[in-house]
This record gives sequence, C-alpha cells and structure tokens, in this order.
Amino acid sequence: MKFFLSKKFSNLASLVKACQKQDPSAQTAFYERYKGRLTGVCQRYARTRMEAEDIFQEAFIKIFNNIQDLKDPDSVDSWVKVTVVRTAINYYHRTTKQQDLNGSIDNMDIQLESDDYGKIIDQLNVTDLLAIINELPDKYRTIINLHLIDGYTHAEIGELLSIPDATSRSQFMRGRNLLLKKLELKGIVHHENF
Amino acid sequence: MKTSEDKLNEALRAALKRKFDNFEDVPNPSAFQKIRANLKPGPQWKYLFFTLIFVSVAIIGIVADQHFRKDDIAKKAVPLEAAEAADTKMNVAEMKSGTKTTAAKLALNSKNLTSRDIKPTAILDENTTARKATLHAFSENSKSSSSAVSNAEPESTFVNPQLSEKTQFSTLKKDVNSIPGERYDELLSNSPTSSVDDRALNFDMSKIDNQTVTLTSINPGKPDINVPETDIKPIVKHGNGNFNWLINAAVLQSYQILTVPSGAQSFQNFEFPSTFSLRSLGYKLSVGVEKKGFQFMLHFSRFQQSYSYEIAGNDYVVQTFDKDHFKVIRQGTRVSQDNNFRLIGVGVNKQVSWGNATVGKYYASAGLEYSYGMIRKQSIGWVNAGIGKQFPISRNSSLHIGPYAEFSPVKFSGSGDPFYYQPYRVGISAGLRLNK
Repeated sequence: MKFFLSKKFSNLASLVKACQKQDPSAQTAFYERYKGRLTGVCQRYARTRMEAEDIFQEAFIKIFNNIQDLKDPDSVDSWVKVTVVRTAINYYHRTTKQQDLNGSIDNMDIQLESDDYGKIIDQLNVTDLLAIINELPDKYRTIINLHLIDGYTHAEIGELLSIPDATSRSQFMRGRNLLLKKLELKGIVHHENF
Repeated sequence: MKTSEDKLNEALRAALKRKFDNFEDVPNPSAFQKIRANLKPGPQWKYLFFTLIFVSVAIIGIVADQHFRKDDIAKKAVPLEAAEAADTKMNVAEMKSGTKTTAAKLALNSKNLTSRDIKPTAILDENTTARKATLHAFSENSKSSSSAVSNAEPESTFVNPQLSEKTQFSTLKKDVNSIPGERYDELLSNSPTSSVDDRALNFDMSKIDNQTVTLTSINPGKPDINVPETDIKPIVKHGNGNFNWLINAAVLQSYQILTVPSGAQSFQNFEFPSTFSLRSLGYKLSVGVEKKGFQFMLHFSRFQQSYSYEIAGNDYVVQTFDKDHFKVIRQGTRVSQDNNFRLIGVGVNKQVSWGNATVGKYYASAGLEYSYGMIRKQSIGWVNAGIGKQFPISRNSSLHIGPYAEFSPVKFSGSGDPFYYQPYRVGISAGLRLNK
C-alpha cells in the first residue's frame, strides 16, 4: 500500500495539515492511504457492494469537508474510522425500512463449542465471511460489527444508534445467534466438502 | 467469572478480528473523482493570487507609465522654454543691436544647424541648467552688443537646434546672403570647438530681473496662415485635473464555469447554449466619473444562465448497434435551468491612453467591480479589462469603443441547484466621455 503518494508529506501530521488547507495533492495522498482499509470497513457494514461504494464515497466527502475540525492530527486514523462507521450508521438510518427481525432466535441452542466457531471463521475466506455478515439484517449487522469487530461497548453503541444499552445488548445477542447459525451451516457445508 | 456467553463472544471477537483487522479491498476506480467533485470548493486562493498579481502588474505599469511620462514632459518642457526664451531674446536683440548682430547669429546658425555642431551644448548643459543658459543667452543679447561673434557663440550653443532653426530662419532669412564669405569661415572656425563661456555661468541674474522687455509684435513680418475651419479636427481635452463624465453600454455574451457536486445524486448529460447564443446575451449599462484616468462607475447589468442536465436514475437501457456492440445508457430526469441575473454594482477602473488625439487615442483599462444580485440576492466580484479606441466628436466629447471582458474570480453557489458558478462575460463596450 502506498502510504504517501507525494514525498513532500513527510509524516501523517503534515499530510493532515495539508488536507486541512484543501491541498489537492494532499487529498490524493490521503485517499491513497486510507482507501483500501476503509473500503473493507464499508463492506462489513454494507449489505451489498454497491451500498458499500456509496457509504465509502459519502464518508470520504465528510472526511475531506470536516478534516479542519480535527484538532490532533495524530489521531486521524481513529477519527477516519469513526467517520466511516457513523456514515454507515446514518446511511442505514436513512434507507432502512422496518425490518422483520427474527425473535425466534432469542433462545437458540448453541450447538458447537466456542472454539469451534473460531475454527470455522478461520477456515472461511474473507469473502465468504463477509457474505455471511452482509446477510444479517441491518440492525444486527451493525451491532455485530460495532461490538465484535470494532470493539465498541454497548453503552457506546447505544449512544451511536440512539438506543438504550439494553436494546443494544438484546439485539447483539440475536444478531450473534443468527451469525452462529449461519456459521454452523457454513461449517457443515465445509465439512461436507472435505 | 466469565460465563460461557462471554467465552463465546471472546472467541468470536478474536476470530473476526484476525480476519478483518487488516482487511482491505480495492474501491471503485472512479470513486475518487466523484469524491473530488463533491468537495466544498476551498477558498479560491489561486484565483485571488492571480487576480492580485494581475492588478499589481497593472498598477505598477500605470504608475511607471505616468512617472516616465512626467519625466518626458519635464525634459521636453525645458528645451521648449529655452527655445522660446531664445526666440524672444533674439528678437529683442535684433531690435536693439540692429542687423549686424543678427546677421552674425544667422550666419552661425545657418551653417551650424546640424546636431554634430551643437554637441558642445550638451557638454555645457551638464554643468548648467537649461534655464540658466536661457537666461544667460537672453541677457547677453539684451545688452547692446559690440561684438557680434563673441556674443553669438554662447547663444548658439544654448538654443535648441530645431526650434532655433525655425524661429531664426523665420525672422532673419533675408540677411543670409549679406554675410561675406571670409566672415563666414571665421565664424565657423570659432563656433564648434569653442568651450563654455565662463561669463555665461557667472552672469549676474539680478540684472535681468530688473529689465523690462516688451514682447509684442516680435514677428511682424510673418505671414498669416489661414487654415480652413473644416480642416481643423477636434482634439479632445484630457484635463487631468477635471472630472470627465462617462456613459457606457456593453453587449456581453455570458458563460460560466460550472462545478458539479455528485453526492447522493448523480448528474449527467449537461447541455449548454452554443458559444454565441441570444439566450446568453446580456447587457451592461454604466455611468460614472473619471479623474486622472481613474474611473468610478455605477453599473447595472443583466445576464442569463441557461443550461439543462439530467439527474441520473437507477434504470439502464442497453442499446445495440453494429450487431455485436452494445451501449448502456443510464436513464435520468432532465432539468432545465434559466437563471436570470440583474446586478447593480460599483467599480473602479484605471484607464491609460496613448496615440494621437486628433485621429483618436487608443486606451486600455482594467478594474474591479462588486455587484449585488437584485433577483438572487448574491454578491459577485468581478475583475474586468478592456481595450479600444477613442474617436473625438467635439472638443469636449469623444466616443470610445472596444472589446471588453469580465470574470468572477470567486465561485458562488446556486440558489435552486447544488452547483457552483463562476461567470465570465465577453463582449463589445461603447460609450461617451464628456469633459466638464
């Protein structure tokens, strides 16, 4: 990955400062630095690749238009990621209609041991795993991403999604169980293939 | 104590993090272009920078031009004064000392009117001012001269050669043939190589202050020149100290640089009027005053921006052409924009002119203008420039006409659309300048 397109940006802080001055070459370098990683984040939060592209573009527009507000250039990595996550959340707030969330998975029996799910995940390639996550309903997918992968607490998730912590917890449980179910199915398929 | 739920969550978290922590993918190749198109336009430092450079160069040019012009006028004024004084002096001397002195001067001048022979003048003038020289010459001649040759030498050196030639010949040409040949040679041998007459420099100028000189009828013999009135062309006065009234009208073709953001909506298939179109034709009326080349103007102008575009939808039509070739067309909803602008504004311009006043001077002007939209309530700044020619109509008025262009260096946002505009207008400007 090309971290810096131009040699004139010797460190991250100078790159950010140049972006704050709306220097086009700095914006290009900044884009090159983050495009791959943020595309990956967008694909996790989005339902389809097209939606991921929309979120990606919208997030980068927000980043470039609001980078002046970033006080500490060294914290740009986390700021960029938070911006992308918030953009994805807003995207589905705008576009998601009432989804029929499955209540029957609340008390689903867990068939496998904890380590077995880990093994299944390790055996899957990223594309397949992404496909499983993308299949989850929007709210579950968002909370799974936020809590399991991006490390947000339920309090933070409640704040981000404007929901109570308890709702975050319950939706996470349902989402996780649905994910496990899908992983089990995938695991069985994989076992059968082998 | 960790529950089985916690263990499960941790196992999942660890496995997912391993997969996704360094996960990257390639975005759509056209994504960055779309992002760039959507960014807020930054401060237009580039345009402001070039505008400032342009204005600075124009101001420096104007100031330098005026500075050197003043110097030229001053340089021309001194020899002219000297020549006039010399002319006066010669006539006075002529009256006082009679034909002998005059004949000697004429002899000297008639033989030595080339610039080569006048060279000592330049050397002389380095150490004495022209005015002193004039006064010296005047005083020398105002005295009753006893020796025509000794007086004639310094006089001839101080007189502007061309003017002295004209004036002296006009009054004294009848005496040219009366000088004997040997006297001529004597004068020639003395005049070109002679050094500065120190008496000239040490002359007591107070003497001349007390002298009364009557300058009436100094050239009684000159024939009158009758020029028919029809042959006299008006020369427009350009009084630097006075105000000139200006009335101007311009016909301008409007264009714009359009910045299109994409964002949530995509826009496509823009259509603009042709390069020369009646729809984008506007006008500009201006009145104002001018002093010392600075024009302070009030403007009223009108122009129209017409274009149409499509808001891209999600439907695609595949068309077949040449059997195996397909063309995918994204369907869109067409939107037409007709933005009318009526602007009132104030501006300041600097105009410089050059050339012959009798046949019409050429001019160039540059300036800045601030306009306010009466319909769209928007402020627009302009940088303008024009060149052209002034044709004298009468002594107090002239017509000027020439190409004119103005450009807005700063983008402004549209009111009913998401675009940003930078208008520029090109056309012909004509007007009247009325001297007070």
